[in-house]
Amino acid sequence: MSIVMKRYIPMGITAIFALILLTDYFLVLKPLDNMGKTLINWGTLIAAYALFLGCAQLFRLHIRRVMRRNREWWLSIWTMLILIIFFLAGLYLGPTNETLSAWYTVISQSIGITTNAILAFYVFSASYRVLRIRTLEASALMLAAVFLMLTNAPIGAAISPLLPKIGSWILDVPNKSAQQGIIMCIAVGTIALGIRTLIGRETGYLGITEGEG
Amino acid sequence: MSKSIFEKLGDIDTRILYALMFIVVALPLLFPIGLPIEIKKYTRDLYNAVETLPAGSVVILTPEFGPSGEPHYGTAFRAVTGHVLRRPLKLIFITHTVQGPMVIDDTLKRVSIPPDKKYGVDYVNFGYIAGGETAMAAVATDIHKAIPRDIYETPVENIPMMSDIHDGNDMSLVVTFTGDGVNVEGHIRQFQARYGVLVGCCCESIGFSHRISYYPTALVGVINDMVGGAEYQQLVYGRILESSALDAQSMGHLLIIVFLLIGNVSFISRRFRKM
Repeated sequence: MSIVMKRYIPMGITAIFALILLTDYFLVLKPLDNMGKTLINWGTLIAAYALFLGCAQLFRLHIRRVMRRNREWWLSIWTMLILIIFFLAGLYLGPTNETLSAWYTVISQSIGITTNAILAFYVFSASYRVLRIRTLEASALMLAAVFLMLTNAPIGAAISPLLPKIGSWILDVPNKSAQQGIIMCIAVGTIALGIRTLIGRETGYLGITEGEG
Repeated sequence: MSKSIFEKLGDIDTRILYALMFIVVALPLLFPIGLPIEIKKYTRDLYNAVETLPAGSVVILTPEFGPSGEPHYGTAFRAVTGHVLRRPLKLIFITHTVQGPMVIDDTLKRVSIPPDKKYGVDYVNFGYIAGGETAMAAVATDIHKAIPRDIYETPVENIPMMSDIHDGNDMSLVVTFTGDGVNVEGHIRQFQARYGVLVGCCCESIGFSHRISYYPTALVGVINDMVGGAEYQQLVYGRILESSALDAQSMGHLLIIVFLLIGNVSFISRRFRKM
């Protein structure tokens, strides 16, 4: 593929579309507004198409696993089978069908909740064995964890009304200031990345690494 | 050298720990204690935002969770849905998560819908729309173009309540139920920053510490996991509907704290012995 097709045309498309959407976001201009709306709707269509692409890729991966008889290859067959069953059920029964809804409540929801609940056992065992006051930092981490656990469950206020207040202070003062600092750093980094993409310096999204193409 | 009792307490078998956790969580589920809860400002502010919206205001609820998210967001989603349906507001359900339509369907069956509320007139379910933040932007700029049909395949122009709702200027509040920060930030960028629409969220306790960084400027309120959902229930119904789960959570947390202390006493005891 020529460098024009591989690099300059996608970069040009990205820059034009990004400029239209950026201008539309900050300025109220009727022609730009219509163009912006159309582009955003294209985006949702492409995302819907990407779902099918994702499914196709998943099948490709699992078929290859089965063909090569990889370890636990039968789980790949199971994955594809479940995917086909739910896809066909959704297609023929529709998303509001009672049977499909029952499958969700009885099977999917129960399995999901159970899997999530198992975490409580692991967290309990891990915190008992790992959270040790070895250093000052580890002690601070443990204290914060204890106060937040007591704040996030009614038992804290039942023991003493002071406990949730300490937990809320940890969340509101040291945590919030640190988090807001991180958010600002990410925002500045995102602006820099956006500018680099606009001027064609950022090529990672095209699958081109530095010095290539 | 034989181990002291404190040292032995630092080596409790994992199976005993698991059994203890099982008993401590199961007992309150079978015999609820009904511990009182303190309503936090983050939850109360979201409740007040819904409560003070003028009649006819448009509220969008976006459940971005699947089956495993039910314990975290289920209580809050049902409580907020019930609250919005009790008030003279217009309610729109949209989800950007594939399993979202089933969550909406399940919630509409479990929440008592007032008899005067009619589908298409007071509330509408648009189901799933792909595209993440792009889809949020599409809904905010032109909902008719972004979602031409509801979940029952009814064209949007045939849905009575949608005749006056076109873009973010016609919307008042968006509440998203998600563990994904991108969803919350996406709604802030596309609805709050651009159109001034109030945005609230419900998140897991893990994400709560991050999400409150946007409160109270960009986020009008934040519901903290199951406990926040229970607080919202308390505000809407005057009682907690699923209190046994909270009791189990309380006992689980207490057990973890007790064993953190035991583990550390054992750790200190070993250190002294080595000296």
